[in-house]
Amino acid sequence: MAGRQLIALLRRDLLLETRRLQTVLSMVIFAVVAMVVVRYGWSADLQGPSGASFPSGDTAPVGEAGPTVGAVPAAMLWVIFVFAAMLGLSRTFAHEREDDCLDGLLLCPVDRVLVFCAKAITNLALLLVMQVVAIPVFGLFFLEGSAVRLLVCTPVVLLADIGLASVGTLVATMVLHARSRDLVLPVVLLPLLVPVVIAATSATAAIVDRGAPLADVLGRLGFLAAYDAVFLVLAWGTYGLLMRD
Amino acid sequence: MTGRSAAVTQAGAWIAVEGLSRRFGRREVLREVALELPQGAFLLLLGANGAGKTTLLRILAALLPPSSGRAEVAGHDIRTEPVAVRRAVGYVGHTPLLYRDLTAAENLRFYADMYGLPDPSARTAEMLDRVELRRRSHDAAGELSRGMRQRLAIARALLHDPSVLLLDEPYGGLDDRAAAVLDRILEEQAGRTTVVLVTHEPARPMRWATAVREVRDGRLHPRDVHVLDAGRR
Repeated sequence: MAGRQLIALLRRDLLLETRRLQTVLSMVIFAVVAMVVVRYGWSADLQGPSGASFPSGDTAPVGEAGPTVGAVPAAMLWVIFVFAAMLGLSRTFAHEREDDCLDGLLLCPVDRVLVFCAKAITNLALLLVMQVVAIPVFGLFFLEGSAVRLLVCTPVVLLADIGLASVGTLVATMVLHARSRDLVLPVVLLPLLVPVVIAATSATAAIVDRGAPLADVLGRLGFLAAYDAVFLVLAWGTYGLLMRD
Repeated sequence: MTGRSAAVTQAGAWIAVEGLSRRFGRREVLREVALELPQGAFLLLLGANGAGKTTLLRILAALLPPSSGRAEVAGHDIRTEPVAVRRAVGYVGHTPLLYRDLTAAENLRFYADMYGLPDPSARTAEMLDRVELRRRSHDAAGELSRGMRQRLAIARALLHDPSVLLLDEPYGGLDDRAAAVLDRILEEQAGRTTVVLVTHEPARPMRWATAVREVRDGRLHPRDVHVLDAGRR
């Protein structure tokens, strides 16, 4: 029965999201606009580690200077992802609040951990949809000739996304009944996400900038996996208490 | 029923409440409430706004823990067996607890899956027929009228065939047709389902009532049924 309940929860969340597309569109638009702003408003000041500037019109050595991503653009990428994720995470229980359906959900004889799993998977899916659009834009704007290296970052993106979605869902539940939850959510969540951003940034920079193989960033991947595991176990153990009135 | 506690079995009560209190901060909304209802009883719960009627209903639905005291619903303790209590209870609150962007059928199908019903599609269709909403089954819940949403909320509450029905002012804002549908459903449920119905207008559901109580100053007081009967006539 648990599997059927989880599928029902996921189907409901995805149906509700696809009916309006508010959340995923706002995430995608934010991520793309932020990259456009950085690309055309700030690119002249960004220097890769090899000294090559980021492509900025006719002054840029597009595709000739080899990899052009340094730590700053990789950090920018992940900061944009985190803030785009925040838009989605702040709406984790939006439908339950708008339609007053939280009681309906609480009345169902369902393990609260399943509610966490469904919400976290939905948040993960929204993140991935946003990234499917945003990562190619990032590659187009900042990597050009070496954009294909971003594909190697897939495990980094997946592990970091699991961390973002699980911690974000946990915190969104913690602040569910708070009056100023839209303010409280980032205040509580952002410090918790700092380790993910640092690990994901350094792994992304190493892979895309220096062409490091995945094996060279195993330590960071291990850290991300451990971070995910810690918060998933924490959610498993505490979610029933968090969902109580 | 398996898992029935000794206290309820001995008392023979389907809903048993003893010394139940609930505080919100310093304010004590319910004080030492005691109540016993046998299976199939129909309780009308009256009282002024803010008297604590909704709080009592939410506690019985295991949506809200009491500050002290104990309560058992369908043989299950609301503190230690909340999942079993929720499985036994159908609840209609002030709001319909429906997702406005899902259709009527999708809403019922979702709850049918959550309750693990064996044939959710058939049960959904059956309940839509029962509340006369089959023709609107593909309309979003947000597009239905207030009365239709309330009928859908009643269908949601009855979906899993609960042995206890908790209704919080179910006639509020209903037109004649919707009220008639609710009358028919209560007529069908009376005697076989234990019903607690909160209302400010007792005349309509009085015909099924086996007990009437008033919540006043956080306590339950017996209410003179003859006075209410006279008012109805």
